Amino acid sequence: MVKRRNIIQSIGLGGAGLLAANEVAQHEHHTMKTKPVNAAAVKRHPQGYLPVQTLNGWTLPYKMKDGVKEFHLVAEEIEHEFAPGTRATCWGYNGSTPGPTIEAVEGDKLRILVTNRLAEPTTVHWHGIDVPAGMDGVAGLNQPAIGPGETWVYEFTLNQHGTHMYHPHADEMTQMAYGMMGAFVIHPKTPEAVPVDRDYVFMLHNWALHPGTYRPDPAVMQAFDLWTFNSKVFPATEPLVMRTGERLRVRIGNLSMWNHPIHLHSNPYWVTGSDGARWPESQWRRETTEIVGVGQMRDIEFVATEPGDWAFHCHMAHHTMGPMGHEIPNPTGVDQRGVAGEIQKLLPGYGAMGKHGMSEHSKHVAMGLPGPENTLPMMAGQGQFGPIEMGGMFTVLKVRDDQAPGDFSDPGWYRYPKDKIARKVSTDPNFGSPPRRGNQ
Amino acid sequence: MTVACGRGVIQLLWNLTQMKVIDLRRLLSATLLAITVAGCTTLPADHGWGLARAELAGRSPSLAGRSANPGADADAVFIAVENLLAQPLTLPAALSVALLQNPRVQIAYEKLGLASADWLAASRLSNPVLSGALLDSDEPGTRRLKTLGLAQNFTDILFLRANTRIADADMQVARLEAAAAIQSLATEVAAAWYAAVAAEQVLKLRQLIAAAADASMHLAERFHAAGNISLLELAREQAAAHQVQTELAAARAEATAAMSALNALLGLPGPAGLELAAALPLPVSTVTDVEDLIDLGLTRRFDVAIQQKHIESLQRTVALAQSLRWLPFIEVGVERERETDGARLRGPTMAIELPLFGRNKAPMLRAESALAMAQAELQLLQGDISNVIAAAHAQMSAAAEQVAVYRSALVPARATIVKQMQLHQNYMLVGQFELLKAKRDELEAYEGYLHAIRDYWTSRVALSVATGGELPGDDAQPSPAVTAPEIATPPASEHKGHH
Repeated sequence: MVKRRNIIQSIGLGGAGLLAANEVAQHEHHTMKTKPVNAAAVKRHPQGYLPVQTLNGWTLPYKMKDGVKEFHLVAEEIEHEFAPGTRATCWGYNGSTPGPTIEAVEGDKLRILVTNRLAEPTTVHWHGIDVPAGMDGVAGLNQPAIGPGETWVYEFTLNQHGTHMYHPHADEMTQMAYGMMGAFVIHPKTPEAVPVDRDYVFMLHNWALHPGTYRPDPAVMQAFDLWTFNSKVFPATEPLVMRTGERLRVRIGNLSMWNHPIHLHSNPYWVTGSDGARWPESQWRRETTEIVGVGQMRDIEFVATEPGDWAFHCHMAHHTMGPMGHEIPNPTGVDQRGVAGEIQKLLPGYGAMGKHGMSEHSKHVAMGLPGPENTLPMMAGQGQFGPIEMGGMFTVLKVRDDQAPGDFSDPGWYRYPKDKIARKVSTDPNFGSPPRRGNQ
Repeated sequence: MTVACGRGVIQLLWNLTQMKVIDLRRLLSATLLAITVAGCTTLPADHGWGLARAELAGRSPSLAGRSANPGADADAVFIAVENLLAQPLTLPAALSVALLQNPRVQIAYEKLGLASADWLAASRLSNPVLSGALLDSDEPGTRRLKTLGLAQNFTDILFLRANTRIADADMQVARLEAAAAIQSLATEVAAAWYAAVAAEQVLKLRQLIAAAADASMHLAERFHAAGNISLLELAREQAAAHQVQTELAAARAEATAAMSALNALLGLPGPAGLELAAALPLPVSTVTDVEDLIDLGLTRRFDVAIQQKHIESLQRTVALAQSLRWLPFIEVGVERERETDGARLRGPTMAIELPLFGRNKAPMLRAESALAMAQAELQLLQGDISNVIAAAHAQMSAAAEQVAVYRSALVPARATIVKQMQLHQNYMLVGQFELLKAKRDELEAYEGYLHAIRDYWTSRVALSVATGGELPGDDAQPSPAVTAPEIATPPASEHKGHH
C-alpha cells in the first residue's frame, strides 16, 4: 500500500542502501531472511524524518506561522486509566499522561504556548535542550511561574538533535508525581548515516496509587504501587511491532524516582544515544540491559534477526508486578491445613494462598477472587500458553517476517514452529539423573 | 366471748347508772358505739392479701396479674414451675417462677398475718377484770372476809374508735409493705435476669474472640515451623492468644455468678441449671419526659404512701393526745365485801390519778415531735426520689444513645474494616495476622454493644424501682433480640479446590 508521497524519499532510499551495507558489515554472522523493504510504504514527515511512535500515546500537532512551528500545551487535571480495573485523577498535558510527544527538526524555530489549567502555578522545562536561559522554565529562577488560567509562550530555535523530555519545574515533585511529563524528539537536519526503520519513544514512571484509592500520592518517595511505560502497566502496554530484518530504535526517558535497567529479550542491542544526541558509532555500546537513570534518556537500536514475541521490560523484578504488600508475613512453605478451616469459621472468605510461591494468585484472580476497589492484582496477562504473571514495566516486541513496513497493527501472538519451541519430556520428578553438587 | 364480755359490761354499767355515777344517755351512746365497732371486728380470710394485690395492680399491673396465692397446692406449684422451666427462660417466665417459688412471697404473706393479729388485738375491747380476796381474821368468832370486785377500763371503751382507726391505718401500711415486698422481689429478678442473659451472650462472644486469637496463634505456629517468622513474632501471637484466654475465663466466671444470683432469686436450689432465653431485646422506643416520671414516682411509690399513712396515724395520735392531755388514769369498779363480822359491804369503786406533780406532757411531746419528724422525713424522701429518678433516667438515656451508636455506626464500621481487610489480604496487600486482628476488633465492638444493651436494661430496671412501678412502654411489643454473629460454616469457597 502506497502511503503519502514525500519529497525526500530519495534521501531515505539512499539511506536504506547505506543501511543495508552497514548491516552486512555489522551482522555478518546473521543471514537475512526478509522480503525486500518497500520504502514507499513508510510514512515520512515532509521534512523527511520518520515520525516516532509514542507507545500508548500521540504526537502533538503544530501550526506553521511565518516559518515558526507553533505548539500549544495545556497543563490540566485528567482522568487516566493505567489498565482496565485501575483509573485515577492525574495531571497531564492536553488530555493525557504522558503529554503528547513534541517532534521537531534541528534548526526549527519553535513557539510553544503553555496554558495552565491547574489550580496552582506551573512552568515547562525543556530537559536537555539548549535554550536561552529565560526559556529554560525554572520557576522563580528563569521566569515567574505561569499562574492558574494563564497562557505563556516559550520561543527558541533548536540547535541540536536527540531524544529529550519536557516537564514542569514548579512544585516539580508533585506535578511530576501526578504524571506531567512528555517526550521531545528532535530529528537531525541531515539524515542519519545509519537510519532506522521504526522509531519508538516511551517514558518510565512510578505512581503511589494506594490500593482502593483514586489519586496518586505525591508524597511517597520509594514505595510505589504502579510502574509504567508511558503511564500504562502491563497488560495495557502496547506492543512494539516490527518486521524481521528491520532496524528498530527505542527512545526511553526516565522521570521517575528510580533508575531502571531496561532489558530486551532476543539479541543484544546497541545503546546508540541519549539526550546528548545520537552518539558516534565508536561510542555505541552492546548491551542486553541498559540502566536508564533518573533524568536520563537512552536510545537503543536493534536489528531483528529472529521473528517471535520478545519480552521487553525493566529487570527489577518488583517493577514488573502490580500492587502488593511488601511487609506481609511470608506464606511460602507454610502448612495451613486445619488452621485455614479454623479461620474460615470466622472469616468465610479466607483461603490459604502462597504455600508454593505466588503463581497461583493470577489463577485465583481469574476465577473471581476479589480485591479492593480500583486495584490491580499483583500479576496479570494471559499469553497463548497460559498466564504471563507480569505487570508494571513490561511489554512485548513482536517481530514478524510478514509485518509490512509502516504497518504498526498488532499481528497477534506468534505462531511458533513446532521444532523451535521448548517441549515437555517427562512428568516424573525423578526422571533422569541430573548431577547435583556434591554427588557427581 | 365477745358477747359474754358485752353482757358483763352491760350489767356493770347498769349498776353504775343505778348509783347515778354516770349519765345514762352518754353512757348508752358510748356503749352502743363500742358494741358496733366491736361487732365490726372481722378478719379477712386471706389476711388482706387480695387487698395488697390491688395495691400492686395500681403500680405494676402485669406483676399483679402474675402474683401467686401463697398456700396454694404444693403439687400444682411444682407442676407450674416445671412447665415454666421447660422452655428457655424469658423474663415473664422468670417472674412467674419467682412468685411461685421464692419463700420471700410466703414471708410477706405471713407478715401480713402478723399485722392482722395486731389489728385484731387493737380493735378489741380490753376485758373487765374480776378481783377477789378471802381474808381470815385472827379474832375468834369472826368470819372470813370475802372481797369480790369487777373493774373495767373505760379509757379503752371511750377510745376504742380512735384505736380502731389507728389499727386500720397500720393494717393498710402492712398491705402496702407486702405489695412493696413483691414488687421489690420482681425488680430484683428482672435485674438478675438481664445480667444473666447478658453474661451468657458475652460469654459466647468471648468464645468467638478466643477462637480468633487461637487461630492467629496456630497460624503463627505454622509460619514459625516453616521458618518464616521469628520466635519473637511467634511469642507475641502466643501472648495475645493467652491474654484472650484469661478474659474468656473471667467471662465464664461472671456468667456462672449471674446465673447463680438469678437462680437464688427464683427460689430454686443451687447449683443453677437454667436455660435462658438466647438474647436481650433492643431498647424500648417509648420516650418519657423526666418530669412526668418524677410525678409518677412521687405519686405511686410504696415508701411514699407508707410514710403518708404514718403521718396520718401520727396526726390522729396528736389529736388524741391533745384530747387526752387532761385525762388521768381512771378506773371504775364495783366491790363487794363481806366483813369479818358478817357485814356485807358493796358499792362502786373508783381509782383516779391525781395530777399533783404536773400532768403527763410526755405523750403529747412525743406525738408532736414524731409527727414533725415524719413530715420532714417525707420531704427528705421526696427530694431523694426526684433526684434518683432524674439520675436513673439520665443513665438510661445515655445507655440508649450508646446502643444506637454501636448499632448504627461502630459495629457496622468494624464489619466494613473486616470486609475490606479480606479484599486487601486476597491481593496480598496485608497479612493474615492483621486480618484476624481486625476480626477480633469487630467482635470486641460487638461485645461493647452487648454491654451497652445490658446497661440500658439494668438502668431501666433501676428507673422502674425509682418510679415505684412499671414504666410507659413496658407493655410495648418487644424489639427484635440482639444476637451474636453466627459462626458460619465454611461455605464451598473458591479456595477449596486448590488444596
